[in-house]
Amino acid sequence: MDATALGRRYGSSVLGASGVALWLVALYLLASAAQNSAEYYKWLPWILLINVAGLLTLLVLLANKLTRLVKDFRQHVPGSRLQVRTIATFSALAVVPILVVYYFSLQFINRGIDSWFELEVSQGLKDTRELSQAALELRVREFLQHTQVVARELARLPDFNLIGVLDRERREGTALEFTVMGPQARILATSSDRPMDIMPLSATDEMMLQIRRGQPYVSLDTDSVGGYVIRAAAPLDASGTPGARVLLAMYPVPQQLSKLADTVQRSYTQYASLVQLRQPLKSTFLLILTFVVLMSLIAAVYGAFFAAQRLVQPVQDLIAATRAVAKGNYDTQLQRQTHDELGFLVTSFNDMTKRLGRAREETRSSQQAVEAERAGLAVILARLSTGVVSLEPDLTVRTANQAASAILGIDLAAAVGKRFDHAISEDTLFTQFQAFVKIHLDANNLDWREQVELLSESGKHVLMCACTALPNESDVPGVVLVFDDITTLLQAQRDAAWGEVARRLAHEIKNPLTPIQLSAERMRRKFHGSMNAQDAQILDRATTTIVAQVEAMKQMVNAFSEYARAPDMHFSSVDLNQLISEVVDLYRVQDSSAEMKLSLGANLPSISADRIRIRQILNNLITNSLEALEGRAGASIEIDTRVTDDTKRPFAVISVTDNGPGFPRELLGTVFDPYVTSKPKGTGLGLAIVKKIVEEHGGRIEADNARGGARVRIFVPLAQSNRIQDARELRKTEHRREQL
Amino acid sequence: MLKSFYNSLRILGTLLVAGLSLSILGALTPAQADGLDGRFEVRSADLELKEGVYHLNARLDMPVGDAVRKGLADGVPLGVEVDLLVERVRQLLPNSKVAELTQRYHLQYNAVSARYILRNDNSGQQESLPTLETALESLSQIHGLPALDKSLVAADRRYEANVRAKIDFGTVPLSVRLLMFWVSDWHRESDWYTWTLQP
Repeated sequence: MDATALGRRYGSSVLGASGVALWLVALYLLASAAQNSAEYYKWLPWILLINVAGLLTLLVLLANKLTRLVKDFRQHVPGSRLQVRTIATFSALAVVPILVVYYFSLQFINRGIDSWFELEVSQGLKDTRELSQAALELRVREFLQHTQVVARELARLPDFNLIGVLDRERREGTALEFTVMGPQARILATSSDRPMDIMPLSATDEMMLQIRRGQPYVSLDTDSVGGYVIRAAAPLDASGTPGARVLLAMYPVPQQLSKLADTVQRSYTQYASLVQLRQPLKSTFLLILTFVVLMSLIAAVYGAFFAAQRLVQPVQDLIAATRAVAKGNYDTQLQRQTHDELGFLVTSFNDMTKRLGRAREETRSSQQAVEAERAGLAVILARLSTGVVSLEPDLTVRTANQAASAILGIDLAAAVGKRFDHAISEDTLFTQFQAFVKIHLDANNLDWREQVELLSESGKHVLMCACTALPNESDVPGVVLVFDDITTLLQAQRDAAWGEVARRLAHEIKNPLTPIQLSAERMRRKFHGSMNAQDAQILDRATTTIVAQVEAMKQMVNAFSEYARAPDMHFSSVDLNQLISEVVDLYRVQDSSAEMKLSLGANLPSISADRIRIRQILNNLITNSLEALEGRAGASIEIDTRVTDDTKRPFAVISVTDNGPGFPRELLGTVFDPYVTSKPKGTGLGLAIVKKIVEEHGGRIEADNARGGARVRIFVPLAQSNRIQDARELRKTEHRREQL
Repeated sequence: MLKSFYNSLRILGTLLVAGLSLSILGALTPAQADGLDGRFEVRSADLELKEGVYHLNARLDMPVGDAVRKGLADGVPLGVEVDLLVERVRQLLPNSKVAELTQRYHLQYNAVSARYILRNDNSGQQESLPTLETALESLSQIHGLPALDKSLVAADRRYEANVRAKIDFGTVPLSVRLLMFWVSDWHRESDWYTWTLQP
């Protein structure tokens, strides 16, 4: 984990813890400062700054937490509702008591401070002050009168006699000092009980102003050490006299009285100061209380966030992990942080995910095996020459392999997902097959095996079809249809059977024919002369008939022999276009009843073939067409050649098409069988021999109807001469072995 | 759930803000009304050379409104501190201090004698004055205060004299003053009054 992630994860907690610690330290210092002001006074700004910083820190953290909580709540983050509920509960539990304490503290501060300044205290102080003043006023007047008496006594004396009277009066009385001041504030005489300590009394402006008005002056003053003295002044001379003299006197206040007055004064001053402090003090206490309560509230709410987060975090982790598991992430594991019920839940969750993970791995392995098997099966099905179509219980086509499409002549891949009985609407092999299958399915016959013949433009197709119900848990199972086009197989079997017939005919019938013929001729030679004319005529007709029929049978047997035996093939490079042109030219010369049209492919290469056999093929086909076109107006035969588009295994294609009546539909599948012909004459071996020669060349032959007439197409491979030769040699060897 | 949570937060926040605001308003408003109010400055000052000693003469404008006068009449003390700083002006270098003097005065009403006592805390001398006006007039005038010996200044140098005054109202204990740091009306301080001293 890098520093950024660490900071993101723990930054808020560290900041919060630092803020709370800082705040606690600052509060402690603030409390200490209130108790020990001198020591902490200089640190006061910093302490206050720390407090404000702590408050701001907590506010920022709280705002951050609150913003995140609201965002989570709006985005429906898992656990946010539980967190909101927990925070609301914790906050209420913390805030309400604090607010109650705050309220009572406010009341206490207000009433407590107000109680310091009760009316009785204020009135008592005022009364005490007035009592003190009254007590001192009496003495002040006494001393003023005494001063005036002394002044009148001194008024009669010249300046140089003043000192003696002053000393006497001071010693006889209670005055601390007497001083007579002359013009320009010149001291004329003075007498003091502490001549070395105190400067002689001097007249103040206030005092002189009073004297100038002709009034005596007296005042209660404090001295420099806090005691009280009474100062008095009285004029010696009449008011308005130039250079009038003034007597200044200072009297002591008894020490007991002075102390009491001082106490009253100090109490009065302190009370006044307290009254002055009353409102600011209340405001200050309220402010500090509010500040502390506010910080406590914020800290409490922040603590509620913290506690709720700690409480909800495991639940959030569990929810997130559950969602991850629901999305398929079975590797999800949670860190067990506590050993309580939540820890047990985390352990159980981890066990569950482990088991789920194992089960998923097993399922995945099984699925992979099934997929592999399915892929292999698909390959096998694709390569099978047997058509396989599987149907759902509702007859929807589930799968169909390529062979099925090839056999039924449609693209069954496009029919997958569609209903089998609605997949194709045209009249094709598939519709016939569909109808055939539907008969069984409608009869609820799900397991059957049957051969079916389907007709198409290219002839009859014989399918061996089997149906089996698929294993299924439901009541109505699906089915799989397996079918094979056995037309070629049947044809091969027929060819083989006809070949055997021909071979036996050639072998079993041809041998007795010659003796029959020879015997008939011998019989005629021996008995023809010894018979009467009538009998001789009968014998001659009979033997002639026998010889003729034997000859006809020989021809037929020879034809069969030719069909049965593997002809000697002499392969050479043959230019098909040239050969066709030569043959057609002969027919054009001999017979002009039908128009011969040639459409020869320009890029047709030479093929390896037996030139004579190919010529025989062409003769047979043209002869067949001419016979079919006999007596038809506008008869034409079109011969074209081309090369197939298959680049891997190209064929040279010779197509002979006439505009005659075409092949009867019922004969289309058997036109290459021996003895199958629509002509009144002929052995029916022409097309059979053509087919045999084509197959000897490794090709194939197809017959159908096109342009309203018959069309025969011959496909001869272009580059198969060696393989064909080998195959032909092998067949010849087998044929000889059979003859032996 | 979210709505009720928001409502709870809103009510709580409103109560807190309202309570705090009322407390602060209630705390601040009377304190400002009872404190030092008005202009406080050194209106004029000069150093007068007498018998080889420079004496300070200064005149202060006192920030005493009706509330302060009432407080003084009730016995709340008023302290004034006058600072004198004489510096030698130097080129490219900070000024160097030549002399520094602080003089403290204390004015308080004596309820027993019904007189205002103005005391010089440095010398211990005090003056008893019959009225607040005379006391304030006496306090706002500094006359002939010995400040600087002539020998400390050279004729070919340039000097700068600075006077500043501070005023404190009430005898606020340090702990209380600490708590009431936010109340500025207990203490005021004038700007420096500066002039060039020509020896």
